[in-house]
Amino acid sequence: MLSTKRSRASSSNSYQLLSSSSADLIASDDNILTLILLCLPLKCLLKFKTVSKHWLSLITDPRFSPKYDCRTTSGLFARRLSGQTKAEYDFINLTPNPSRAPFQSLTFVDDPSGIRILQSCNGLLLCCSFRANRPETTYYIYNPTTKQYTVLPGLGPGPRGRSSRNTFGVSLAFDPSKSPHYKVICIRNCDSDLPDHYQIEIYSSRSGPWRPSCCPFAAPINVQFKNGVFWNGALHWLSDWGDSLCFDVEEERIRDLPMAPVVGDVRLYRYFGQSGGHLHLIEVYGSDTLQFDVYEMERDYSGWFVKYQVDLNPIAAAFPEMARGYVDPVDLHSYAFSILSVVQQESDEDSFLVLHLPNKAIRYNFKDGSFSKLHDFAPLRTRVGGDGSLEFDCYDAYQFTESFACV
Amino acid sequence: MSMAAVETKKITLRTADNHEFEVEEAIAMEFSTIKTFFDENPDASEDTIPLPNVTSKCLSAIIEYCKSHLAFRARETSSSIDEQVRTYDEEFVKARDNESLKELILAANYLNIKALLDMLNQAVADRIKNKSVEYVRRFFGLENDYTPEEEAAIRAENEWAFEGVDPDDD
Repeated sequence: MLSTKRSRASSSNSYQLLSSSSADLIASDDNILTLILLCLPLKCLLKFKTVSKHWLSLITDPRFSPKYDCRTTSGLFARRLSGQTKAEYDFINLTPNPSRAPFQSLTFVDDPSGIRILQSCNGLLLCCSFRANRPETTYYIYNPTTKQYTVLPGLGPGPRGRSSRNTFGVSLAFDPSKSPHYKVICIRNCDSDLPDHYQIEIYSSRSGPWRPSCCPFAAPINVQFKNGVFWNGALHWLSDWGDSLCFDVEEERIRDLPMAPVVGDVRLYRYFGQSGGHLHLIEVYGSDTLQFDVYEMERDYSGWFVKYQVDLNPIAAAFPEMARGYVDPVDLHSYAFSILSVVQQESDEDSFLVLHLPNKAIRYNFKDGSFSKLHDFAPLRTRVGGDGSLEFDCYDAYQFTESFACV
Repeated sequence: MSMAAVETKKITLRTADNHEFEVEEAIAMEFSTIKTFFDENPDASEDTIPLPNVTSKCLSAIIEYCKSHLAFRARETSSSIDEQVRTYDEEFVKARDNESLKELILAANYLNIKALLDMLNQAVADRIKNKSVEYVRRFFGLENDYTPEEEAAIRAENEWAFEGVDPDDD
């Protein structure tokens, strides 16, 4: 560094004179190099792994955590109905830049049952063997950006070793802005002396194996444990009859999720999911209504409020194949549409809805109701229902968020 | 001898190519390396500070940068000032070739001027982000130490990241 002696030039340090060797100096100064790498977008970092082995070691160092907005959803995976053992996915690109699908089917490990996605959570995917609900179902955590995966340990027979225990749902809880670690929550039934009760087991990527969490609890029969949504540090499950539930992952507590009163007998919800740090719900009542609200949950759980109002009439006019001419017995509606995702960006003005109409995916902008086609689904070889049928609902679409998170 | 004028303290800096620069104390204090030196050696303020790792070309650019940013900071913050700062930074970087950018980075790093270093690093990142891997190796003077098979294997894992690369025109 700077010499304290007046007259002598600091020949005592080891720096070289600049001029022709500046490139070498930056290249050999890991501090500066790391600062530059941190300014690059994720996709570049993946590309520049091939620059040199030294760069590979810098980029894949677990302490290297690039600045990126982990909430930007850049695409959706939509699971095709294929009738085969392997799940196949179409990739719907949500960014303005052309982009190739990270994968078409999950082949990161050779599972003879094939692998499918159960849930997407802030950049990581929870996957399982395609033929689930067998005792031998294997669960995986997969990062589609880095292609890393880990196999979760088996669930085991349960605390008292009794014979068959059913698994009602497995969900991933991961928030990279809070912690690099994730937890996996499994809802099982209790041993037979506590019928209608459930037991939660938790696996932590930091502290390891499955362990029971909190006491067994009673839940209304219709809670959809298969479709948990992780938001605000808790997992949420809807019920279409009674109360909905949430599980605070940190405090390991179950509590009720307040819902608006149901219109009629059954809750007709079309979408329940998380995007950009917000929890959204869409219910549609009335067999020919094309106007509905997107609800968002208050962060303090005080209730749902109307975030966006949607009017699909212009879309129905532009795509006449939406009109079925009859009320479908499954979704109780005379127009063919389903909601694949709400995409909440940094600003409400840029946020939009991804809709599924027969054979296509449409983007509907909340700001002004404008819309554009995002994707055409190639017709299937085997087709159930007529041309007006829908292939996907909100549970068949999974968000893709770029992430460097370790699994 | 004028009585009313307040004398601003000047610090003398000598670059690697033996040019001497007289700068106002306020500007010299933007260089954290120098600030730390004076904090530890309060009597040394009359001395000429040698900077053997900085050329006169770099130092004069850096002095201009610090002078301008000090002037911006002296004004009230507003979005139009922010806009002017952004424009100034863009212009500062735009005309310089890759070599001078790298020299400036090393100088800013040595002198420990965080804001300038951050800005320059981002500028280099922006220059390389859409370029090919080969361009980046040339930019940093790096050897490719992968075998063709190793390189192909990593590339295959992340094929989608290699799309949209600009042609290497420089």
